[in-house]
Amino acid sequence: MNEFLRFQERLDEIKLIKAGRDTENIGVIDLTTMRDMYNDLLSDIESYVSECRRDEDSYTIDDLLEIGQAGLKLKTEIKNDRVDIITERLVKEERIKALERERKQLLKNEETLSGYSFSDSENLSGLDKVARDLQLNIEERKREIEREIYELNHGSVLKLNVETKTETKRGGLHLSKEDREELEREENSASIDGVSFTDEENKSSDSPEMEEELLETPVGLTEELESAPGPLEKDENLETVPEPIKEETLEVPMELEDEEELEVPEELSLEEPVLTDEEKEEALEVPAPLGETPVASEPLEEKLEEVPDSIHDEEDEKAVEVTNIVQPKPTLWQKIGIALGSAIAFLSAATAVHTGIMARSLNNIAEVEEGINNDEEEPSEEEKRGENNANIIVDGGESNTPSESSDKTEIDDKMEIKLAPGESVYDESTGIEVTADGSAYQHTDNGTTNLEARKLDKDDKGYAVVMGSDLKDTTPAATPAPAPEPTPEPKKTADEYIQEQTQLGNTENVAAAQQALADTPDDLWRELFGDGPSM
Amino acid sequence: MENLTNQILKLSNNKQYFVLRQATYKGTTYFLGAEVTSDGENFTNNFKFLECISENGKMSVKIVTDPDIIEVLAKNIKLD
Repeated sequence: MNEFLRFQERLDEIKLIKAGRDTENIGVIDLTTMRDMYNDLLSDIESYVSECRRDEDSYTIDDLLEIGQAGLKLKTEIKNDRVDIITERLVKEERIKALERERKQLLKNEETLSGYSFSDSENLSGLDKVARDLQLNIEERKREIEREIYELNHGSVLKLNVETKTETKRGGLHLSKEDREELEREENSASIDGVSFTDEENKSSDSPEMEEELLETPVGLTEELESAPGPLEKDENLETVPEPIKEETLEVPMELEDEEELEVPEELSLEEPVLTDEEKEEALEVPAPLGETPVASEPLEEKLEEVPDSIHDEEDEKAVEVTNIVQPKPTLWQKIGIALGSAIAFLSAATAVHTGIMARSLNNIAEVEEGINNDEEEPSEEEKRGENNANIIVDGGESNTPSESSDKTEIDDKMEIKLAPGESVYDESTGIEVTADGSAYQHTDNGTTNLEARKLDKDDKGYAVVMGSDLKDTTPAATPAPAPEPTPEPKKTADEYIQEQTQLGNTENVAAAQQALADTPDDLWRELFGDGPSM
Repeated sequence: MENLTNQILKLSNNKQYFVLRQATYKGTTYFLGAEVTSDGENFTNNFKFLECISENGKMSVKIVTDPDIIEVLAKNIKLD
């Protein structure tokens, strides 16, 4: 068991280095090196345990059990301690991705401006000067990006720490599913395999029972990782403001991997990076770990390694509360055109997908490649149907409430709309929605009510055929009763009219009527004046 | 349900989505959301269909994973 004491000493040493890395009491160790130190230790423990198990003559079963327990305890402790290293590395990768995106955009801008040449920089016209300045800014920013990417890839951890804190302050890491999967793959490769213990209370996670338990109780691991658990929260008590990187800090030798043994370009001077005051403030508010062993209730990383992908799906399916609704910043509006273009590509790709499984995958794809163009493809039957269904639902614009829509669409009675199972059609003008199974709903401002089910025919491909008339409300109660037609009063004779006007005292009418009576036949009178002229 | 088109939904998981389109389907409100960077300055090129859930006066959203609904929404939401 002395071997385990040595392992424990190594772990304590790593923890000290980790603490020093974060608080700058010791030198800078980059994330890869730090992770490798943990992994090497794990690997050594694994080898030692395996060796003991093979050497059956030297150990009793009780000895092996004790060794197994000690190995598991250390392994758990190592993995817990390694969590924030992994978290930080993910932040770094996120940052690199963001920089790469920005660099790509800059290259596009640069290409746009490539038509300009400025031989006489002193006498440039207004527009040329703007273009020249833009080019210079692009160049400068590109250099900054390249420098930062290099630093992120090859050391200079302090700046990274600041960003970790910043991200944490904002409430967690923003990791795509791909990032997490990559992390899982990488960490799986570094995990201890093949170590199994027979003790019931201290089973290795490799045991089937433990795997089963993890599968049955998925607890949103990725979410816990996103919100930067345990170790980062503990750092609220840190009051030390991280100092700018000093030359001697960067001079601490690091064990670089082969691929990292690169010459540092001159422009990457040792003076970089230097923390700004703002960065210091951010670092103070959400500081780096002090080196204490993270207190995690469960070995998160271990679960992360072994829980299947379905855990991510569960996370996706979880409802997330909307904390605030705000107006976009003006700068965002300037980019709305690009976003719309990408969104159109996203919708086109989703529409072109014929199977539901792929459609689901599409919604899980974080990034939509620009330039997806399905216009040249012959539209499929489903796409054609999709065109027919263009007015099925209200698509934003003025309102989602049918009765308030400013873009109402009358669906012709003779129009046929074909629906696949699960689809529905919605007539904005009537507010009636009919699903492929014949169910009908009436949407109003006051809510949705069920209507009498429609009997839908099916075409030769199994699509339900909805007629325009199905989208009209046929419920008797809902149909306004026609207004009763006014009962025509019986026409008066000339004598009756004169008598009436006499009673009313309309002497002029009486005189005119008598005159007209003298000149006009009776039937012509009725034709002209009907049931009472207002002469 | 008010129209939230062209507004930003800030979520409790610190993600932010710009609502490109809002739609109703089978009585449920959906959004086509474009994720926005945490500083609110840029789009991330990450798009999701979100289902709106209102409970006890609180509004939540859930990423749509039902392939049938995704298909219907993708076919019928028009951006141009």
